[in-house]
Amino acid sequence: MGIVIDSACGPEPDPYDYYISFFHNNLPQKNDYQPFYFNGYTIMNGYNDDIEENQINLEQVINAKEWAHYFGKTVKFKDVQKAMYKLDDSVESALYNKFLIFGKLPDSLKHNTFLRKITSEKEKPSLHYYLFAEGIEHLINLRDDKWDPKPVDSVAVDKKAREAFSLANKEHDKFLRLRYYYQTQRLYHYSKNNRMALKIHKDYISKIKSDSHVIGWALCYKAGEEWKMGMKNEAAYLFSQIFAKYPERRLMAYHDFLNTNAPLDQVFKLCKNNQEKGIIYAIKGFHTPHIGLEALKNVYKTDPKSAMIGILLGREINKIEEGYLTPRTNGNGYYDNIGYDDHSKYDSVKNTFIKYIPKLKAFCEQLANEGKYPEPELGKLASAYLSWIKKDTVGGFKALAEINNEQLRPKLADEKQMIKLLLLTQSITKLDTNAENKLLPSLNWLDKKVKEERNLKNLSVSDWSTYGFKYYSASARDFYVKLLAPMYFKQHDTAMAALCILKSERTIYVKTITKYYPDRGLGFAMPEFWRTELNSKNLNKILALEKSKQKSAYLSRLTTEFREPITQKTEYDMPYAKGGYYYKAKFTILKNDLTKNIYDLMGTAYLREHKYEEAIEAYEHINTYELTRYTSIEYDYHFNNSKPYYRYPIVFSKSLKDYTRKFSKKKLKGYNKLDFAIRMAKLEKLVKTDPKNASKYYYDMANGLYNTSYYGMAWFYAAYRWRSEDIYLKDRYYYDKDYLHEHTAESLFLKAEKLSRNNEFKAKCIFMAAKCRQKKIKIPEDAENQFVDYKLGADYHPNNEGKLYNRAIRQNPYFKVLKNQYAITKFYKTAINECSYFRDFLGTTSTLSKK
Amino acid sequence: MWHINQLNGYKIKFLGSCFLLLFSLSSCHHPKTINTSFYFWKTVYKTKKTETAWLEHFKVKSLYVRIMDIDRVENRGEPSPILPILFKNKIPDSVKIIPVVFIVNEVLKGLSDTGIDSLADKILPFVKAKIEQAGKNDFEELQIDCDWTAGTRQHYFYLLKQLKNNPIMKHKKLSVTLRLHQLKNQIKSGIPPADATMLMCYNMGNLRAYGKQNSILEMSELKKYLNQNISAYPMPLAIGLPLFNWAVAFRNKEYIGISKKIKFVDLIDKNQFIFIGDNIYKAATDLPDFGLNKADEIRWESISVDDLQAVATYLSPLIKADNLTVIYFHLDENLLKPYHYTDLEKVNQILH
Repeated sequence: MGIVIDSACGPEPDPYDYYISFFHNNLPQKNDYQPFYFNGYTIMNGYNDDIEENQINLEQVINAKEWAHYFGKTVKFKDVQKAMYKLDDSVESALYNKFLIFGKLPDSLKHNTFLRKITSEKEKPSLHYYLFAEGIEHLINLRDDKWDPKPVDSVAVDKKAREAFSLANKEHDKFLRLRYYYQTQRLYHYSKNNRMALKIHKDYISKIKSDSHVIGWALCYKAGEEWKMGMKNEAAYLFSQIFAKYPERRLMAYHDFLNTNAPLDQVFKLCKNNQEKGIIYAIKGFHTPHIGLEALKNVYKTDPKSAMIGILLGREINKIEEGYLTPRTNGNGYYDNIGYDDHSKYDSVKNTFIKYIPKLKAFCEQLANEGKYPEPELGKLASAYLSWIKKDTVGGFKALAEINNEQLRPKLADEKQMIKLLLLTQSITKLDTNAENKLLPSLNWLDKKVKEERNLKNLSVSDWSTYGFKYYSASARDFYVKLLAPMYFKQHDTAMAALCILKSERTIYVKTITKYYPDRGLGFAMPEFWRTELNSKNLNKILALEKSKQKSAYLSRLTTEFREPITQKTEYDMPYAKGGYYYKAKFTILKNDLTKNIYDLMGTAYLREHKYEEAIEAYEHINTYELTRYTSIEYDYHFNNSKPYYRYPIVFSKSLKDYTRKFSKKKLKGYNKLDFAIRMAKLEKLVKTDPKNASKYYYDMANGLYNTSYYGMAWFYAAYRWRSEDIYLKDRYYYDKDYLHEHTAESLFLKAEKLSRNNEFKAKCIFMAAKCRQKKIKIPEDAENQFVDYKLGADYHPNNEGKLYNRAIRQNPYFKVLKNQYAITKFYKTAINECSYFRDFLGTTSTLSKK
Repeated sequence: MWHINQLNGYKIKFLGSCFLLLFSLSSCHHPKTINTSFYFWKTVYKTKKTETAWLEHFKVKSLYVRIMDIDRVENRGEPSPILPILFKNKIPDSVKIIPVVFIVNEVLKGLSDTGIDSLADKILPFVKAKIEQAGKNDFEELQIDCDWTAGTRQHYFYLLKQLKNNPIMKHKKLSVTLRLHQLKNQIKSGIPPADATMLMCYNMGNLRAYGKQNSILEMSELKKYLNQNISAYPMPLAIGLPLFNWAVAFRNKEYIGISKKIKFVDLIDKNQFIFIGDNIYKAATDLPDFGLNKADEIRWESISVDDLQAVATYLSPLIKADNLTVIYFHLDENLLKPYHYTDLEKVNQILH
């Protein structure tokens, strides 16, 4: 049933979504600088493997497109890509060794337009080049097998370089000639003949006018050769040029530029114009993890039109969001306080940001007003956003107003809407109907953006990066829970705050079912806040809002999730015939109606409040099958792909032990929460109508409460999550006094004892009251750990809290009652055998340690 | 020559002269045969005149050549060769090769027995291929260099066993390096299942601690680890001595690394560095070529002839073996510049 969530380790933060961000990093026109967006969690923005793979894929796409373009319409780009990069090793090997060298094709590739082209009579030179290029790869390519001890055969490579050069000189076709010269340089490069490699570039490649990216790749080699020959300034300059012009080599160029450690003033001497200097300042800026205006100002000064300005500006704002906005909003550390080493709590760090924000804002204004930067509206947007961060709503609106008449491109238009929503919210002192109506258009827009992202299947970055590049979904999630909900809380409007929390949580909602986490329905599927903090009054109000015939458009927006279809992902371990398993997932769209979930929560709230008639009424809104399915059972997850079996708690079991697992595999009558509520309501009535047996009824009620507390087998009648650490925490929720501390149960056991005349029964009541009283003693975490250590043979040294606990647990006031009044009962012996603390009370008054 | 313990084992029956004989034997020094060797620790082997001359002068029979490191690339994936040596020239015919494989300790963690078996099976063919590239048909000894810990001991010892049991190692010797702490803490470190060890008498201090210590070699540190335990070690021991130097960099008294580019001539350039005292220099200005900011500090650590002689003087009486191999780390014409042949000859003489 997914009841026990055993989180042994993790979570790890999502590097794309670990701080609050409303100023999205994808605002630049093109996204080809994505690895350089700010990310304080990974070296580049994202995982290195993903980034490197993207760069390789990009280069392959570029090369394949060039070949397709070279041949014209008769050759499809996809066919080129397949032939060059997507064949299995064995197929590729056969293609070249058994077919292409004879100018033939295997049947499986006969329809490939590219391969058909190069094997045609007219295109023999292309085929010849293709075979040559393929033939040298094994000599120079980085080997997959690191355990191959053969070094590069530089003699053989050198020989091939001379052959490539000869072929280049004979080749008339410009496209092929360039590639032959490129291979010549490349081969000399790998035979470490840097002088020849540079000569080829200088005398031949540099003289070819072409838009081909092969020019850029040759430049990469040239830069490497110069670097190896001690010309690091020249190498750095070239790397900066490659960085700017060749996205497929951008990452490599970036790292290599930095690794040359070339002094900037020397590299600048090689720059032909200010734009080239601007690129270098930008590279340095991308390498700066801390806030600072230096790079931005330098790039702006040298090249005010540079596209890098937008990226650098985005980085600065994201740094402020990570280091200042997020901790300020969260009240403590980073997003969800994941345990990341949090330096942001120090005043000195906060003050650095506080001083920096106006300076950055001033730069944004300069960017917007001076007319040099092609998108001045970006400056205004950033300025408005920084004003919002500073809580200068007037300043923020002013900046936005200055671009009201501008036609913004879609990404900037959306960002403007986002900032407007933030400023509007900030300007509201009380969330009344007027204020809500003001927000509504923006909220409608935000919902639309979220829906668009839900439909964009290819935005998923990795399996577990839920919000990945879904910018507006992440912003909506944060807006509702971190900005709007707190405003409702301030107004003591818990119901509306709860609706905000639900909306936040359901921004991206995929119900995932696995064999370990089967279908969680009803109250289990609701946000944690709903499950733990909402009492029956709150829940009734929420339902009333939802059902109201005068439901406002604003409220409708807030409650869209009540009936939004849910995506369910079911994960399977599918067995292979010969053993082992493979993963399979199935997606289903389910109808949804959250009102029954709310009725479950309401019923549970009533149970917690001991209002059983009201609980019955709430549960009667839920289909019995569902109520039983989701609330009666404990799921056994030890089965591997066989059907789970359900275990029904024997709620009124009279076991004396805590944490007993008294279950029945049979679905006995009365074992869902409705039936429990019916039974408890009946017992309440019986106490009045059958006073003769009132003690028994009180005992049963007390027992029912005990068994549905943290310590009982049916704890999930009162709660939706059980954790071992719950007993160490201070009382958190309105029902903890019973759920954790058995207040009501204790009083009912005492009533049972008082009304009974049977000494054995009375003794048992007192024993149970003692168990309840024990649950009021605060357990210091230290004592529990020390107890564990003691069991393992370590010395036991309780601290003060531990000593108090040890004393209190053995001085339970009911022990005295048992001893003085019930020592002659048979049950007394049971009590002694059951409880070691009672034995300690009887035998000794010393603490656990005898040292 | 009879070992003194053997003499003790044969009880003296004739008190007078025998006792005198015992006394004189126990108090007199018995000379050892010193075999000089070197480590070659660069990633490209090219014949260099100076280096060859040192090999010839000391009649070096075997050169300990680093073949590769074994590590995981970027801390993930299977362990694999890192920067394997490239032989641009062959090793002189008169010099045998003893291949050395350095295993990063971290690699041993989390390796299953199957993983270790596989690693052993890959290391040896690779080594064999490499020594052939060095111009040799075979090798007589393989040395494994690893700073193993109590936590990796089991895996490491298992790896050594698997290496030894590999057919390529038939009739060959397996030696391992031994660090001072492993000599001192034999119970925790264990005795590796090998045929011989090389005791690394360098890198003994706290490299990363700010101060004027010489982390490569300091007598006070050495003495904390070495005493009679050296002769009691249940395996033949060679001795490793340092010939290298390096610049240890600090920023605000925090360790930032070892600079591979800084040479002593740079440190005495007053335009670049200010001498603070002892072996500490401060960057006079930003030095981007060296990766230093102004006021960063360098602790220059080097090994003088006096240092070497002091170590030799201390070690000599502790070593009882008849034959002792001294392996200098490492053979590099630049590192050898401060030394003369006579310096190492003197060290050998002290050890003799």
